[in-house]
Amino acid sequence: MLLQNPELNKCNVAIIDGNNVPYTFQELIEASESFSKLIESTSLVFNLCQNTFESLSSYLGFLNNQDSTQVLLPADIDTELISELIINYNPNFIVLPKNRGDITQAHPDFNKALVLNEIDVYSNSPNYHFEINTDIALLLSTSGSTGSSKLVKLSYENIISNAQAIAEYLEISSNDRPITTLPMNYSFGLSIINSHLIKGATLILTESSITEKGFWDHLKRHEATTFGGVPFTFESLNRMRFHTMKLPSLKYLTQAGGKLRTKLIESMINTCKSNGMKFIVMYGQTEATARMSYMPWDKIQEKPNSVGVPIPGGKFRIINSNQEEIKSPNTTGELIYSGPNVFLGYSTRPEDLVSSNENHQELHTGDLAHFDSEGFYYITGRKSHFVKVFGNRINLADIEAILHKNEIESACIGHDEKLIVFTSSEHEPREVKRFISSKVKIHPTGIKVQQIDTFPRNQFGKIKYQELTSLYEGLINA
Amino acid sequence: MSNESKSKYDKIFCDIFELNQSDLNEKLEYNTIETWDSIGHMAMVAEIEDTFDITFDTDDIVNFSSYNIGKEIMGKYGIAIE
Repeated sequence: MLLQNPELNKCNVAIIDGNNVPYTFQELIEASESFSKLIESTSLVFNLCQNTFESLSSYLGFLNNQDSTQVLLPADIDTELISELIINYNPNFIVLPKNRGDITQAHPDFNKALVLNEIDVYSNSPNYHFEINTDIALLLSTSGSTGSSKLVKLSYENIISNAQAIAEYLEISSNDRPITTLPMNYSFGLSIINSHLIKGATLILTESSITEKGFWDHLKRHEATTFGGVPFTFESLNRMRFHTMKLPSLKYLTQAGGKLRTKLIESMINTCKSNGMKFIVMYGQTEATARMSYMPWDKIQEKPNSVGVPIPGGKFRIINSNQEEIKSPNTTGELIYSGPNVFLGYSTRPEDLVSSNENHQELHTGDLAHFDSEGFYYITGRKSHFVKVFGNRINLADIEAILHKNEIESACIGHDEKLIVFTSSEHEPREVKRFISSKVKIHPTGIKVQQIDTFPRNQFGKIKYQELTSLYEGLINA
Repeated sequence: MSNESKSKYDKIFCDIFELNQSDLNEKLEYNTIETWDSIGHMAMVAEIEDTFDITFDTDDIVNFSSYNIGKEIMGKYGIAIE
């Protein structure tokens, strides 16, 4: 459905994979059909994906068949987490990279239904009937990496409308050549794929990261015109002295996945300007399929801290604690987004796949924001209990729950893009850190574990997180 | 002096990648352990730059693909490891 643009020239190159192999749109469509053919009745598909041609074809194939609902998951998902998801949802199909055979060993009901070079598709007993609302096309985790069991339900309209809106404000054409820097199961990464495929552009796929020579060789060899990054990407580029690199094919860079510090935004603007590039700061959430706003290039210098204006077809408003709309500029409240890309609701169990739209195109972002007199928006804080670490949203309650299940009592806070975990003193901090890191796939340098004798609690026994934040700030400033 | 540099270099690997001294050998390469991914890589680079007060060239950051190659790269900056 992303490839049904009538102007699409099917002889054009759609994909250049990590091994420098080009594939035309015709070849991509044909490859995707071998996956959509597998679906004969309403089915749930788990797809452990990577930035490879086969993974991308499988994603498109299942997306194109209205009878299938697909969950995109990271290829390196923790074995225990994926097992829990399999037991919980009992999917009809699982797409696995060759090196994840460990997963089916634990679930012998699954048999190989399709064997390719890099991935295998496994199917469950064929007569198993699944009740799913066919409006639901795709399910993504709210965090790119944790593979949390809380999934975001997205419709075909969500995906198409957001891809079109992004393509419109970025002025994407068939001449663009983005190189992948983010996983496909991460909403920002997927939005780059979708918004370019819909315009007939050429995707340059790689599993290499920007810290590897192979990435830069691939970018230069195939003359990539753009890539996206989360704050960590730009922190790395800064340390790698991106401003000295000669990359004449690049036309613009996009940034989302959290607030970049002002100094670095300014330095990126300067670097881009002097190299004839643009730097586009954007804002979004998985619950909005991906994107909600973007900062026009001609205004960013004047307003480097703004997340810009709503995307085409979208609207923002700000409400106070009485749910009344704030109409005056520079007054902080909760940011509410409305548009055709607002998700259908959350799913934590298969029963949640029966119902469809619970949100009616309105999303309470949980972010605190205000707008200026020219209608540009600024995110100033967060209402909800989560932290962004390396661009991934970590729900603090999820971490507490995972630890609790393993008999470790904890209280978590977010601080300066780090996950801070307070545990009682009988647990070795290094072990706790390792455990969390392996479970949620966050690098240990993004986690701090602090021992505490007793948790500060209020009269109702609830943990006083504000006090933990002050305690932590005292510790790091000591 | 060089012994001191080596122990600083080793400590960075142990701290950032959660390793023991015995894990530091010619087999230790980028992406062969979970903690030495792109995030770990940049954390390690930052720590080395701060500890030894040097600034790597871009090429040296992307070529720093193993514990041993790292030692050679450090040599270019006048820091002898071992």
